[in-house]
Amino acid sequence: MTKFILRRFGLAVLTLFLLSVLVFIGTQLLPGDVGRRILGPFANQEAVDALNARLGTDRPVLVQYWDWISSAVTGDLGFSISYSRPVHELMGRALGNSAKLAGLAFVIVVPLSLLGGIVAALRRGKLTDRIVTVGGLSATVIPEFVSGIVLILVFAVFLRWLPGTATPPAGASFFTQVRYLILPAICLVLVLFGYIARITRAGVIEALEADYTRTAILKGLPRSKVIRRDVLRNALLPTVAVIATQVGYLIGGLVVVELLFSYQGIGRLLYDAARNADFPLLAGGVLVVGAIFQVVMLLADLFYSWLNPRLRLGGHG
Amino acid sequence: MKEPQKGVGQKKVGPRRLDTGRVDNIRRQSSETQNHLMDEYSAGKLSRREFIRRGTILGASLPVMSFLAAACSPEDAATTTTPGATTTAGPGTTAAPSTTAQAVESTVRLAIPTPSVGIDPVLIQDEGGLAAFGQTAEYLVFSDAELTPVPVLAESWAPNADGDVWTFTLRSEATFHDGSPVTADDVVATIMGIAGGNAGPAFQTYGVDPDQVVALDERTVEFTLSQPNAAFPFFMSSDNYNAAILPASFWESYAEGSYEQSFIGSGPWILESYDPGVGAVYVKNENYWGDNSGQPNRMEVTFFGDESAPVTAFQEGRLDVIPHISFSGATALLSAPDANVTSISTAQHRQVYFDTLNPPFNDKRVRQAIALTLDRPLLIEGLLGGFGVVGNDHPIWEKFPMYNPDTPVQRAADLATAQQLLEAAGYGDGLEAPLDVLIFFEVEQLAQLIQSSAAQLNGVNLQVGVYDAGTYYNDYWLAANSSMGIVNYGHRAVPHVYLGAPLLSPERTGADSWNASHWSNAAYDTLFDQFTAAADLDSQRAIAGEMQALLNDEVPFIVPYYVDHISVARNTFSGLAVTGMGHYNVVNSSFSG
Amino acid sequence: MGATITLMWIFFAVFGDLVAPYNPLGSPTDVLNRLQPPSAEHWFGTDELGRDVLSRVIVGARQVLTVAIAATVLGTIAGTAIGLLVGYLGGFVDDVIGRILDAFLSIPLVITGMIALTALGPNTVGVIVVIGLVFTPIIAKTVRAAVLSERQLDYVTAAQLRKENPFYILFVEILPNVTSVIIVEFTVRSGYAIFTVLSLSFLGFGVEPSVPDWGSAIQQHYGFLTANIWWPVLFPALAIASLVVGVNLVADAISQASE
Repeated sequence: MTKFILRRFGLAVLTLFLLSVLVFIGTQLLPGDVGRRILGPFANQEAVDALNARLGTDRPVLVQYWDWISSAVTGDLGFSISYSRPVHELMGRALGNSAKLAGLAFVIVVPLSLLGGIVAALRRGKLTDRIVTVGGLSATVIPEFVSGIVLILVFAVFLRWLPGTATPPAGASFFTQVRYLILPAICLVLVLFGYIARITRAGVIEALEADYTRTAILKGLPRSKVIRRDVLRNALLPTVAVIATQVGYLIGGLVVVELLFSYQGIGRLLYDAARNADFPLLAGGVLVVGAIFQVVMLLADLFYSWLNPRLRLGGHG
Repeated sequence: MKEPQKGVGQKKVGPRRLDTGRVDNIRRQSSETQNHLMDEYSAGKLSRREFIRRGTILGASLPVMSFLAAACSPEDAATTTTPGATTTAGPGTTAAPSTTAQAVESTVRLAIPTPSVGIDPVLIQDEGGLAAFGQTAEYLVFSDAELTPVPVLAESWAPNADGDVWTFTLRSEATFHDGSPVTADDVVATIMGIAGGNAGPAFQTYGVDPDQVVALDERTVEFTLSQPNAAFPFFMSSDNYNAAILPASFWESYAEGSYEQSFIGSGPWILESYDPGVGAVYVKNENYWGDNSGQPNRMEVTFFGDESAPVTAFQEGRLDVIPHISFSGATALLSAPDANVTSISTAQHRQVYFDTLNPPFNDKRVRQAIALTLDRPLLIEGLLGGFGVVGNDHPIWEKFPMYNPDTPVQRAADLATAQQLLEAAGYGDGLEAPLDVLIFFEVEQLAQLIQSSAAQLNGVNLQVGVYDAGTYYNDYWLAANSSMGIVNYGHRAVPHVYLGAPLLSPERTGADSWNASHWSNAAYDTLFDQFTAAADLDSQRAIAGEMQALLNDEVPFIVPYYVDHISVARNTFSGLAVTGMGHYNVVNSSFSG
Repeated sequence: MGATITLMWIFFAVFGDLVAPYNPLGSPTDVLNRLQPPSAEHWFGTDELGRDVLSRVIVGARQVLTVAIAATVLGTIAGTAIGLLVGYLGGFVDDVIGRILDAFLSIPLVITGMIALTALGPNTVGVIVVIGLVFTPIIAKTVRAAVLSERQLDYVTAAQLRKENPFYILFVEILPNVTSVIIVEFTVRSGYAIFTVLSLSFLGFGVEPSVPDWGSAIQQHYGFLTANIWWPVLFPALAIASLVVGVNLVADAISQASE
């Protein structure tokens, strides 16, 4: 087990390193130089050159990379050009906001899709099953901005029940904040629901058909008890793994959703950084997001292997 | 030429020949240029507004100019109300409402575009930045909506006889938020501090060398220019938005981001809190050196990236004023019952430039042809909702005093002539060229309309590409192979910025050229030098006429229209003052009911 | 049902110009007719430049389908090539490339797309290449897994014993057997490609503005929702929803049939 953890951890670090290289190369591809970006298109060339020299952007790429990555590891991700603030400060706040939104989405989607998957499995082949499966699949593939716009049109423009933006006024109560976040959260839920429900359904079906279930029923245990005890536990395994992988799609979805709903989260921050060619913010932001993704995957893997006794007790390492 | 302030508000003044003694007195004390100005006005060659404006540029105080305008008016001058600029210290207020002292606590909530870099005197480069900066900090002079220079921190100013040395006298009572007085040293320190940043082009345009700016005493600053420039006061005005006066102590320890730590200034607002990228809250400066009795106690500013956010906030009652919004953005509010939409005409324009060095646009007939396909009133109606003024392919806006109305004829859509020109140039079967534009308000739509307008000519196919500002300015704007493009030039009180770097021969301006057309014309260069040196309005107008005609004929770029500056405020709110540049002022505002 | 919808859109993509009631590019004077609500003359209303929304929705299918399918083809070819090589060669190559692919996948696809497109500029070929490249790792992973399981099988060992050229084994022996996997991947990825293309053009990384495109149409007009101007947004949105659902139903059916 320890060997497994260590190996897994090592892989994560390696991937992170590769990620940092990719990110850095990516930002180098962006047009413009830092000095010009800060001073704007109408400033004198002299002034731009002076600023570039001062910021050290004319040094060799490898030197700049090393500088960046070594400070990044200690938490100093540089200074954002557009906001004149340290990157980590902006990231902190944006991550907090996105976490609220994602949190709300997860709180809704996990129970909903688990329930949906279980019900679909139990009523396999019947209408309910078709609705959950097909409906879930359809919802997943519809781009978030499309579902978002339909939601805004229905709930904000026509019915006027909910606000069309996600940013509440300052100092809003918890309930008000939820009210503002509910539409974008539903957008995210729609994307995630289908896949999780489907995996849960498959897991439950497999468990229902497994030997130990049949044995338990033959032994006379009430069906519902069997379901609750054995089936669920075995079905949850793949679901946990899946939920973790969805984090990647979630972050991508955040960009679109936060833009549509004018919400100052991490997705919006990265989008603005890319559009404004704010190199430090973009590099730092993508690195942090990638790191979070790796951490989540790592935790999911560890959790999965802990839940799965077969893995835990040796066998694959 | 100092007089005590006369009454506030709008007065009807009839033609008066009284007070001739006083007029003579003033004439005796005035310079030759100022006398010449009075002669032109008496002879009816200048409108009253222009007279007041030119006089104040030359250093006269506003009340004196108002008096002269009444006293020296031509025989049959119609009675007019003073068109704004009548209040005392508050800069740039146009329609001043009743200013009874505010007994009730009032808060104004506004939204401005997000500053694209932090709020920093050296670095600000866009509307959001300058609008925010101008709340806590002040300029020597304020360039208002009528293009009149209003004294703020400077009490008065005057040129020498040649017009190449200008002396400014500061107000003795002006103080910064911390109580220290605004002195000439602070002015010099500010000039030195901003010289290396975004204000650089302004220094060049006005011929200012930071080393030639001297503090003569506590309250007097002297500027020695490299050549005479009649419009110099605008260099120290809000037009040059980096030039707000900050304490010398601030400049000593200046570093990027240091302004956001203190928000020091001499202005009527003091910063209470600032959240970068989100907004700021200001409180009234109770120790303001001027009269701000009518000022609200609190101002809450939100920054916005796209315009739907403030519109929604306004609809939901969380916002009172949007000082600047585009026609497109304001769609929802145009017919809203509780919104008051106002606009002022500005010099802001889109510049549709051609690459004059390479085919197909190296032949001016082709450029003229494209220009002739555009139905400009249609563009203004469709893209700007009528909030605009037709342009004639040169950047001298009709409200600039030196604008020459006599030449050239306004260009209008004429497809037949356009087709003939194309054929004569050898492109009768058509041409293809990329039209690469900046993402900026309606520019993308303008590009598409230019594309479809030009497509009415045989085989003409312009391919539109849109790019965000960073990419555009870096890869397309001045690039050697950029065939056609559109950029924006913001409002200014004098056209020198539009006429200089964008149009002078690239050999002359070198690395600091803004000449996206790569247009090189010796005749134009000569006219430009004559223009900037011209001391009186008549000769300047004559030269402007020649420039207008030359540019209209050569068409290095198309100027389809000038864009109005649209503002939205709640019906119950009055007292918003704005400038075409993006400054806003709510110092004399109030809510009714 | 999915097939019907998909075929309808493919039909419009090819023949849209003939079916559309108005010229989707409009003419300059249309702008005076901007933002008109649905009416007898314009069933879907007009957009901000006065162009007929119905026509632009019909012809818009072409842009989406062309780019998405081209990108998926590119990604499938590249992904299959990499997946085959890596799956067969295994070992060190597998590990290294696998890690690089993983690193790539840690960055949200949308972000990678944005950065690449900002660097390349908004042109159709750029979008195709970027999306194709972005899908390559995913397809490569699936193909690799399939190759790994094939590799154990007897016919491969037999071919190796015969001293066949590795490329021969890869392309002649193994490839036909993983074809069904590739086809399923292709159809599934097409759905995602459509999704990604539209998301990118919504974010402003689309193509030439006057070309009818559903994602750009929404991006240009969603600001007008506050003014209750819903038609330039709703109809493209419904078009998108119907197309993606249709394609995915088809992909789902194919993948179930191949099991």
